[in-house]
Amino acid sequence: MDLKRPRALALYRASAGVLPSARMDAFVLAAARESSAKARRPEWLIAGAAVAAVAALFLVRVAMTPTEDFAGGGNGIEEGLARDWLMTLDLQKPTGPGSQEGLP
Amino acid sequence: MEIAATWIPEPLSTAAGSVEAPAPARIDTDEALMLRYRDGDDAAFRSLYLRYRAPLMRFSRRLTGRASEADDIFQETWIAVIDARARYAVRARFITWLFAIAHRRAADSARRRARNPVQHSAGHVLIVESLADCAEHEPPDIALADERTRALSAAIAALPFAQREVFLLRAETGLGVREIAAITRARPEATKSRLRYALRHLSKAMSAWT
Repeated sequence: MDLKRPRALALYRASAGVLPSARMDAFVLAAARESSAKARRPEWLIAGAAVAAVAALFLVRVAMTPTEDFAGGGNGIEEGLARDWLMTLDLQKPTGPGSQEGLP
Repeated sequence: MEIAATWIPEPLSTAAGSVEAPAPARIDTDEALMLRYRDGDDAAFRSLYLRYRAPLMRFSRRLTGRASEADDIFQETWIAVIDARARYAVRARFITWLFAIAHRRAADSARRRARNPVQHSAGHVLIVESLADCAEHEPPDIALADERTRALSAAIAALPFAQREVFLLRAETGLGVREIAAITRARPEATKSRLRYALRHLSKAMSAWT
């Protein structure tokens, strides 16, 4: 390697001196403090606990939901009327393909 | 994993004047300081900031050649560190992580500049001008108005972006080729070549001064 090459680094390091402005220093340090303070604030803990509680309630509710299909029964007179009406549809029972039996 | 060498904190200038950093009872590694900051110790962040504010600002300023652009990179880099505080874990050296963030910001900035060359032309001239601006923050005896420093600054500014970045990373961080390659996401061989070309170019440009 050329012996002169490291001189560029030495010259650079000897001349280096630029610094951020005082305003920049203050901004960055304030942002760092704000971030820490935000993490420590109790409202964040409370909000976190509230979210966890809602999530737990949701999970419990999902777990308690019955998985079987709707079977009917015990739904009062409307159910009886609906069942009667449905039974009228079962009266026409063709006996096979092309059968005219039961048709008006 | 190799842990970062400890640095002596530099004095922090504030609006109220120069404030000496409090003498630490023990000198922590960068990673230990970042972990302490993650756990809520603001003083640890301040120590980290004092260690790297000057190298990072010099890197940003000399890489971009523009004071405002460098300020943006510097600020965004530290904000990224702050935002990552809660999920920080020691996966690499802090200095590598810090300058990798700055590298990404600078690369984005360079891409924007390339897309809009009219607004961002004459970067090579601007870097010298911005370095002259930097002299306002420095003691007169090391002010960058010095002719030799101006010549060096112009030579650095004349380097292609990739070579300039590798040289500045080497000069500011003292990192090895492999770590610089990791920061710039380049192959170590390519990084080594870029550094070699940069040093050769700078030595040639500064031959009259050595």
